[in-house]
Amino acid sequence: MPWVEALDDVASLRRCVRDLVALSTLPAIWKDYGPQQIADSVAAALVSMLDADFIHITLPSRRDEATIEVTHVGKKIAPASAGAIRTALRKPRIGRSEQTAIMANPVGGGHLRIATAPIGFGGDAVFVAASSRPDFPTEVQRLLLGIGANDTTVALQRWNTEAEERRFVSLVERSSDFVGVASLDGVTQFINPAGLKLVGLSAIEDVSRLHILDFLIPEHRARAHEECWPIVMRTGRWNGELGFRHFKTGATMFFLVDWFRIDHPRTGKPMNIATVSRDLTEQKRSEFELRHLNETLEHRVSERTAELAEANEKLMMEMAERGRADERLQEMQRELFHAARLSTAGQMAAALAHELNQPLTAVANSVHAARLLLTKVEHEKTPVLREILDEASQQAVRGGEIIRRLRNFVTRGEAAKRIENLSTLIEEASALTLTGAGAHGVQVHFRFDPNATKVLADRIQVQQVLINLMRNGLEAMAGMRRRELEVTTAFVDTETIEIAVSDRGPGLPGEIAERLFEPFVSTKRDGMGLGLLICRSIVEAHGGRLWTEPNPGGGTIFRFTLKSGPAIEERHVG
Amino acid sequence: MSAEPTVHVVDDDAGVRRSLERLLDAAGFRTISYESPLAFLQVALGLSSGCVLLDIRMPGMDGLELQARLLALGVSLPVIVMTGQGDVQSAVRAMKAGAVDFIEKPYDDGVLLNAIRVALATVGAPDREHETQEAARRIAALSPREREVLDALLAGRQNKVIAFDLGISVRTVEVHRARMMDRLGTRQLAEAIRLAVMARLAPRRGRAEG
Repeated sequence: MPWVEALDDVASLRRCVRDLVALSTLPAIWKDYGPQQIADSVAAALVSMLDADFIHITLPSRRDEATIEVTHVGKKIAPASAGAIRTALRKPRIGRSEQTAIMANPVGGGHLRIATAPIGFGGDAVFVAASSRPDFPTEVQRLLLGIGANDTTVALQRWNTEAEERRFVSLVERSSDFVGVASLDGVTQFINPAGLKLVGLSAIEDVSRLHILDFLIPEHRARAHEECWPIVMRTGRWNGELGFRHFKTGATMFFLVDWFRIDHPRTGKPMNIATVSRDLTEQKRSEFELRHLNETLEHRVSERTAELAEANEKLMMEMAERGRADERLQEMQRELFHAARLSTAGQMAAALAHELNQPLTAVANSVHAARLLLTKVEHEKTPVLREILDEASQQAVRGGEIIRRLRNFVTRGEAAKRIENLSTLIEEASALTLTGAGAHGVQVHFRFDPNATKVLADRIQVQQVLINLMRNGLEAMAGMRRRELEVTTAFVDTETIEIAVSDRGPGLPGEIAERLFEPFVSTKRDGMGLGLLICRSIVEAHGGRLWTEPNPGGGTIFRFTLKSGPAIEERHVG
Repeated sequence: MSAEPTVHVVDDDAGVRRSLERLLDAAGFRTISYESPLAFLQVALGLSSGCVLLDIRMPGMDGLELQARLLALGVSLPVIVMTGQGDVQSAVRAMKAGAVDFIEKPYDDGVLLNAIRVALATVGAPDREHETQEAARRIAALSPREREVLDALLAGRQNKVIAFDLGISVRTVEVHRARMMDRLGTRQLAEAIRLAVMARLAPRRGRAEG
């Protein structure tokens, strides 16, 4: 470095100034540099340019970093003495102004003349130059010292700025989030490596061919364009969830997107749109897995619950099955007794109505006969007699009408006839009969004709008939040693089935047998004499007949007919 | 036709029997009554004229069975069957079995006497052609629905059962029934049924005899 002797050596001075200025710009191209190196190079240059014995630089302290101090000594002073000079310099606190100070040379004889220049923004930072030359510092030396201080300030400033930039860049580069910058019209300008990787772009691809919307899944584009983007432009920011599209696989990835507008720091004019977006895929997956885990657990719990319920149900069904046989019998009994109570009155009325028809018919016949005869007789009382007979006739007709209405009324709720299995029907009726008192020790035999299996019947009504007939049989055999009841079925013709109930009782006395079906005639002391009447009414309502005959082996046989099931069906079809 | 037309009454009810004898006597018919079908069967073979008035409901052997026996024996006396009220099924069966008519107990004497006169007039080979043709004509005038209702009544079904079978309301069945009666020109169900049975007999008889 040239040593500048005097002001007139302009060329040297220019060279010196240029070198010092270069110091403030050159470091930028150095690979690694810092305040220390900047101070070092300036100090080295100034020692040479000023022909100074000692240059000391204290750099401004930055935040919590230690103050950097650099000391260079000229040829006259041994480097080991630098510390002593530095210590001596501190004592008078001389570095505040550009005044020249004089102090005793701590490492030799004579005095040291000292020049100082402040660096940058005040504080402790200072340039100190010392020389034993008596003319130190000349104007040129003071100028060079000032230029050196100024350019050091510039260099440090630049370094600080660049350091900020480097931190920012590395922050962006190393971020695992998607960081991007776009122009105001949405054209991508920059995407950080993590961002490129997330959406499946390689680093060499030119992102400027892409628009911000290209990064989104198609179904989110309209919303981003019409809602989010205007919000960013208007308010400066938009936050929300958007689906990103993977450029290679086409997969959808959800991002928590933070879009913001970058404005010019001074003019406030919008410059760019930037984003920091976080990939929610992982988060979503863990949420999904957690939910799935919950669901699996719930599913397993419900499965197990269902198994338990099923097992329980099976158990209940088995229990129910066991009780069913008894229950069926009880249920039938209840059903039958209930129906019997309800219908007995109606059937009584029906049966009685039928019986009443006979005498009414006789009355009508007699009256009509008398009236006919009266037409052949002329007597003064004839008109009155005719009137009397007319009235009698009208009353007979009225009686008939009452019976007709009664019949219509009681037959209204009549008979839901179905095709029933005859043997089942008889066996059930038998079971019900034998559950009653007085059935102990009775033998019941069944003989079922295989050609007579189905009947068209109201089960409950026909069972009532069977029970009635079987009870009659049992009662007839009361107190006898041999108590046998036989129930048989027989095919009569394609439409008719006959059922017979035979007992081994004493048989019916002649006078009773004749009047058996008249109302209120009974062989039983406490009987009402309506049972058989009702039975016959039921059988006739089924299109059948009920009659009795003596049992050749002793006792009585009651026979009745019913229509056979399949034959009825055929007839309907034909 | 016999000079002394005889009505053979078969009824197990003594009261009805006696009163019928008196009525028919008063109306000018010769009447013989029988207390059981068997009693009548014993004399039936020797009969060549008159008609039978038969109660359908008797112990031992009912009227239908007696009808069948008479037919089997070749006794061709016209038979009028007396049925109980509303015993439509029996009436239909009796008509099918060859009865010339049926009447419901208790009956109007005019109806009974008229039926007997008609029966006596058809002694021998009962020629029903005109009657059955007329019945068939009237039945044919019914609407399909009315026809269905009549068929159901013929099968002895009640209004509510008919309603269920046809998928219509009981009220509608009543309306069809009333219109059907109007068209047939009768007010009595028995008459309607008689017409229906006659109409059914029409082609069968026509073929058998023609």
